[in-house]
Amino acid sequence: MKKPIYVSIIILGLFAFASCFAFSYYEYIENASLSFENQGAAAIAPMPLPSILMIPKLNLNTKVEFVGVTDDGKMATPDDPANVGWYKFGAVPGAIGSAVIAGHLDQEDGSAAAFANLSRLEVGDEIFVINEKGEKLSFVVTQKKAYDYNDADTSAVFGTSTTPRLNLITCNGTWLSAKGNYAKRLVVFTELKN
Amino acid sequence: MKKIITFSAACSLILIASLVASSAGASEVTGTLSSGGVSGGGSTSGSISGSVGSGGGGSSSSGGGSSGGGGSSGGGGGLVAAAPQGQVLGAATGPASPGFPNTGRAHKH
Repeated sequence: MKKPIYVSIIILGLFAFASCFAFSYYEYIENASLSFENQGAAAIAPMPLPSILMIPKLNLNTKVEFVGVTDDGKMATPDDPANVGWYKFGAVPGAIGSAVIAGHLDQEDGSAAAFANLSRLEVGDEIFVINEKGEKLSFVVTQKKAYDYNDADTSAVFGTSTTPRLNLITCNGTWLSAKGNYAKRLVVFTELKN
Repeated sequence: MKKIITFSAACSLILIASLVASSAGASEVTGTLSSGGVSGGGSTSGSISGSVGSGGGGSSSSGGGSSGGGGSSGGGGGLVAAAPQGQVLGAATGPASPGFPNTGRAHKH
């Protein structure tokens, strides 16, 4: 028995519809996946870590070591007094938050260390961090402040921030020979410029 | 005529079958992304959940795994640096605010 021609037309129409639907669905899935991957990469991409600190005003160009904490809960210091130490448990320089870099004021024999002249920095001075990718980040000094060494609340220096900050620390005040330490700490606060 | 109908029906069936297979096999991403955070819904090929550098205001950043890697994750009983949205930490754990360093009269190591 011969079927009427309209049956064939209906079947061919269904075939065409299924083809279009399948193609559109594949496009949708692929675009959605790509979109998600791109956004995910941007959100969780690791920030390049610092490698060089440059302070033109102080004629300083030094390596950045990564430091943690000492047994008594203080920020550790760089092994080489000529280098500076970035607090690796804090923010990365250039990222939102308070990144902290510390440097020695002097050495045991009285000679100068990396941050011997840090106190000469003034508001508006520029400092630079070169990260491991070779990118140069520019920071501007916004404030200088001295704290007692035993100041328990260091959150102003290490704490959270809604802007990218880089805070520099070195010793300050009088040398307390009995304690083997300086009485104060100088903190130079800076903010990312570019 | 019979051949045309059979052929069309077979093609339609193949297309519908492949459509069903693709919807079952493809990773369906239903999560949302916000600054500093990745959260995701279920998918047939695994889910992405947790956050990167989230928290802030508290004493620890809560963070879970991230299949993309590179996230700062928490743990450590309150010793994790608190991070506002988007903050990128250098390492996973450590005191948020340690004491000031002893930067005087360095011994050369």
